[in-house]
Amino acid sequence: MKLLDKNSQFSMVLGKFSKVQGLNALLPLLLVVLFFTLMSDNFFSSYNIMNILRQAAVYAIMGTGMTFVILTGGIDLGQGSVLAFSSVICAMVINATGNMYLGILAALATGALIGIMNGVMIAYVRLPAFIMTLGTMYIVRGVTLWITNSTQVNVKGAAAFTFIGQGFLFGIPFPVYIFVIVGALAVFFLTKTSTGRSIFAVGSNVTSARLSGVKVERTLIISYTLSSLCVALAGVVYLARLTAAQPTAGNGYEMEAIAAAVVGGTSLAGGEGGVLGTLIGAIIITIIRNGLVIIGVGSYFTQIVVGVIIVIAVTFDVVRQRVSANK
Amino acid sequence: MAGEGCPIVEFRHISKMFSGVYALEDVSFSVKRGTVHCLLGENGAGKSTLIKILTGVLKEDSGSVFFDGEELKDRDIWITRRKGIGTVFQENSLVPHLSVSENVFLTREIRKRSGVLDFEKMKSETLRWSKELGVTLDPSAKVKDLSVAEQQIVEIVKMFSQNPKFVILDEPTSSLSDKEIENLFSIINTMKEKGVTFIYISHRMEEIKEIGDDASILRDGKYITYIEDVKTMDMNEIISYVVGRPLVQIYPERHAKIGDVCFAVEGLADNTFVKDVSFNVRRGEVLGFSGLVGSGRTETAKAIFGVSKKKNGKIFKDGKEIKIKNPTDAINHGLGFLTENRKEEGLFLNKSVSWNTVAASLDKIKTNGILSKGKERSEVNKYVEKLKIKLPSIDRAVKYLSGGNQQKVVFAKWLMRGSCIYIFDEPTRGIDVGAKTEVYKIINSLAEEGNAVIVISSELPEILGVSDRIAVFREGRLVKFLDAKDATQEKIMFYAMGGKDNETA
Repeated sequence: MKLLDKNSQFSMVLGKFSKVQGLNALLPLLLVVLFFTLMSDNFFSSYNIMNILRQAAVYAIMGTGMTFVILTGGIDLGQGSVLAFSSVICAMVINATGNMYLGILAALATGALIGIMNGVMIAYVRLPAFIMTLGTMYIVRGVTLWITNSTQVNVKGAAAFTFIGQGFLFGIPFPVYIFVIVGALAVFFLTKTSTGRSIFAVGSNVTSARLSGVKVERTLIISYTLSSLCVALAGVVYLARLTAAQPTAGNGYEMEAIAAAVVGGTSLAGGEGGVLGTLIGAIIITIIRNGLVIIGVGSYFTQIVVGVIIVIAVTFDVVRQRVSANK
Repeated sequence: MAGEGCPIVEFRHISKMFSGVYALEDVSFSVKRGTVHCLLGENGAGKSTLIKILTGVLKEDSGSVFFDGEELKDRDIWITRRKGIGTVFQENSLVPHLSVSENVFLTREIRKRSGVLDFEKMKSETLRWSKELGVTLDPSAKVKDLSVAEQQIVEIVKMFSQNPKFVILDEPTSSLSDKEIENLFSIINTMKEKGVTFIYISHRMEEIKEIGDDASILRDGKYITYIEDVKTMDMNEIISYVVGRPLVQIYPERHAKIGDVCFAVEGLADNTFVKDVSFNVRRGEVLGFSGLVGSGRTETAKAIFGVSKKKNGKIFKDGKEIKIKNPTDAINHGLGFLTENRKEEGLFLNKSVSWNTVAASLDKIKTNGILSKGKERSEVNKYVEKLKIKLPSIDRAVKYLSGGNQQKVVFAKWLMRGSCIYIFDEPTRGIDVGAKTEVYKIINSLAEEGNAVIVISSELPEILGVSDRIAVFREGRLVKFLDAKDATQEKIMFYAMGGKDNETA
């Protein structure tokens, strides 16, 4: 009986820690920071840290969107294409109207519309998410190349707009505020609202969810809409940083978003994970990219390291689950 | 070759711990050749652990296992299978998209000389085996298209086709109808005559008395006693060994006052199974749904609850017609539905007890529209106490709980929802005797509070024990209402199997 008490106390402490989703990703974050600090004097400077956070913003916002979808047990392969499309739309509308707000609104509306289409096809027609969003990936990329004639669209003037991607507020890059606010809203939405819970329920066991009264179709449509909406927002930030919309931009970014979510502890099987981990995951991946450049290692090496980190992170997760299964 | 006189299986001082708690503690016993040895105990008593150790799925911490006179050291599932130990596990291990014969010969496929799979041979072998066992199977059918009971039969055929010397049946009847159980028993008897030895695990006492020779009882990981002849042993005595206390009564007394009709179904039909079902339930009444597996009881419940599409039929609550298009509508009209497969259709296994309990009642744990952790905990704790759910913490993932406690979590979910019409489909499947009684108490108290309860069960004593009225189903129709007071198992079976009123029961 004593043994049992001790054991349950231990698992309670452990439970409390692991309940704050994403904290498991702090250890790899610490390790990569430590590694690059030791390898280069230039890494741990306030300038570089700000730079990393600014770069991380796009991945973090996309990753947040991806997390909603992965939590339902799905995937959104169209993210990279939607990033390019929404930034092109944003640039074109700003150029046509001279109003940046209209441009941003148009980009977000475009994202939401694509998300709704994905969601409807997946929820009602019951297409596999992989197939539907693979289709979206090709279609949206094709449309983007078509309407731009494969050339970049420069944003004219509008210093206020470039501030979104390049500006500083109280010494911190403006994109950082955006991703922190988006992240905070997403964490709140997932943990404190019924719809957030429904997202977990659908990913955990869709039959049980339906029989518990969860509106499964509605939940799926919301998740895919939020995913594309986040991507459109990331597209605006991306555009504001580069001041030119590239029709080929964001190619393969959906993989970065998936990687950020997975490194952050979100399970591709659905039902488990959260946005906090994804934000940390996005920062980890950005640090590796940035740090390897600073210490002067070729870019293919970046791919190798990111790949290894993903495998290690998921291995930890699998082992952790196996250990708790044996209890 | 080992001598015929030695026991076929012998466990010597087996111990196994899971994170500091004994799952098995110094368990020693042996199984005589040519017997059906029953292994009895509540869920969590250590039966499954012991079976897993014997077959090599788990490794013991200390002790040794002897099979056929020889110590089996480093064993795994392949070695034990080759030695002649066959197992039908509680959880189905078939591949849904493969055919029956492909499943039967999975990992030991028959090949032609060229090395190509010989599908025809596998089909004919499957047929030969099913004939030998007296069952009908279509070897070409896909397993996913079979009913749960038929899948169970495929498992059994698969196991026997490997010519085992020793067979472990872990709750083989949990999804079989009475007729199929009879069939299984005749298979067991045939194989026994051919010298096969069995370990038989079941929670149903009647079955054990019918098929068992001797028995071992486990409780809390310890070996409690050996029973030489289960057929002559008093059932209550066996149960008292199993639960460690005398069991006063399995079916608690009922005091519910039966009131007005509060729920009625008229002419319900779906597209396949359910044909013209009409009934009503009163406040405080427990209506039992009985019938053979596949008679349309579960399908009726699913059509009512909006899980499957209705073709025809009206549903009334308190005299007013209500429309139920999906489960959300049903829940909003005050219905609660506990499904027969709690793992697949009731629970979120990876999620905590607390998470599962509130899953259908999120609106009740909100303050200002925001989910409140504090409210969630206090609400969940209320139901954990009320239903006496045993757990270290409400944050524990439900997959780590025993079957009985898992089932109570599903009950907690619907109780918290505060439904007024409850449908319980096989509410005691796969849970132990002690937990069963508690489930019956929950059902009774719901009736006493003035709710209407529908209980679907394949166990006749259970239907007789909990119901006020019994509706007998056959081939998608509700063929007979019986008053529980003058119903018997024989009467129910008479109507379930096609008897008419003008014949005699």
